Amino acid sequence: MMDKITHDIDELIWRVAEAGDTELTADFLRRYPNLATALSSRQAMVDSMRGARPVPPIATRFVPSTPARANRRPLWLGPLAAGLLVGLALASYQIVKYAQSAPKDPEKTLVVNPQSPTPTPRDGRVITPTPTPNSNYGPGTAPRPDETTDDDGLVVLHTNGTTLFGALNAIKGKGLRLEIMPGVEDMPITLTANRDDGTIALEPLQMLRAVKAAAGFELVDNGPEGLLILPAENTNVIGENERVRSRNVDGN
Amino acid sequence: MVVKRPNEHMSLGADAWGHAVGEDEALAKRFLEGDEAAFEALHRKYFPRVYTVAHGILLDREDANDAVQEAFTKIYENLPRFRGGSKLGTWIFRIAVNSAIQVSRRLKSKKKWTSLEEVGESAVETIDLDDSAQHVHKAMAEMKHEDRAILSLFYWEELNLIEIGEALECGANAAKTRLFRARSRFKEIYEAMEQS
Repeated sequence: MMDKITHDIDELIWRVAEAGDTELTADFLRRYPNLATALSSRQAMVDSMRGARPVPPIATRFVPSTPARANRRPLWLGPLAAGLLVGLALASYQIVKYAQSAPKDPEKTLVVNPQSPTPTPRDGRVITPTPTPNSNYGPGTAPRPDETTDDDGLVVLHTNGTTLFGALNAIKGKGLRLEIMPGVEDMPITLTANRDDGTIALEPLQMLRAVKAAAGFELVDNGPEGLLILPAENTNVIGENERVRSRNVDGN
Repeated sequence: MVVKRPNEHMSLGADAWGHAVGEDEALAKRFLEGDEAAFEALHRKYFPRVYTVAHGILLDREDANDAVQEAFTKIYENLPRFRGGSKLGTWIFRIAVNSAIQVSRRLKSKKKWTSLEEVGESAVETIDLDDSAQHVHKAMAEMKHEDRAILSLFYWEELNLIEIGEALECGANAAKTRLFRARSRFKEIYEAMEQS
């Protein structure tokens, strides 16, 4: 029978059954006598529903706190949190590992413009370059900054008036990773020219070997960190200047 | 034929149980001014109604008590933020429904980890219920908790469609549609149980 009841009539049966109004029920039955059974069972259902209202316990004094049962965290929260922490640790490890293995940017060389005016402090004093105690240079005889310039990836140095540190910086400027260790002192070096203009132009590594031969230092391969420049333990290889000095000491 | 629910066209000054609406707001105002006794009065007044809705959703006394405690704690903490967009009573019902549904979801995930020995023959607590009420509760247990919420609010708390809409955070028309579907599902299950 219910299959024949339309949505509207079904809704009406609910409303009549819920209203519990005898006059309304009589009116409904006059209009739809064939739905008397449906209405009767619906009224019974509604009465049962209303009668099933749970009986609340007596209210105790309210204390604003979350009950222990409700406060208990779900069982899956612990493993999930642990998993997240492990994931975070692994991710951090990978990032650090990657950062350590990634090639570092080539060291930036300081580009000095020889045409730039001498920096003047605010008080107007003129600063004159002061030679370092171990340097053999007088004022104004520092290595020329243009000695590192070339167009073919070669290191170009002047054969005279070049210092060890100037030469090493020029080599570093071509991408060779060098680290000058403590104890290595700056000194003037003399190189043999291979070009007509009195300069020497070599690949960075070849130039390093030439400088090593001229200045006499230890060269240690430090893997990805580059090459270490160490002071010579045995002065088997002596710089040109030292040779002159040695001769002077010996009186030869 | 004009059919009216007893509480459907009630005057604006009173709720379904005949309490003056302004009384709730006055209690809330006193509580916000520091009168703890005013909250206790609100608690006493709404405790049976909040419990009924929570029990209708959870169908378990202990779980319903937890939900009631949670609901009143939220009401206590959030009353300063109540802006009066709806009646205080429907706002309380909204919190009650949400708390009960949250407890229900929590229990659902918890029961996944509970051994079969710990679970009784039926999840529905039918102690202290007569046969007819047991029948209703068993039928409700077969329904979604959202449907149980709307039936509890409508049949047990006698809220009208506007109030149900506010409590369930939907409009009155949506509440009407949801109520019709919930009633139809209930009828289907209830009749099937009667026949078996």
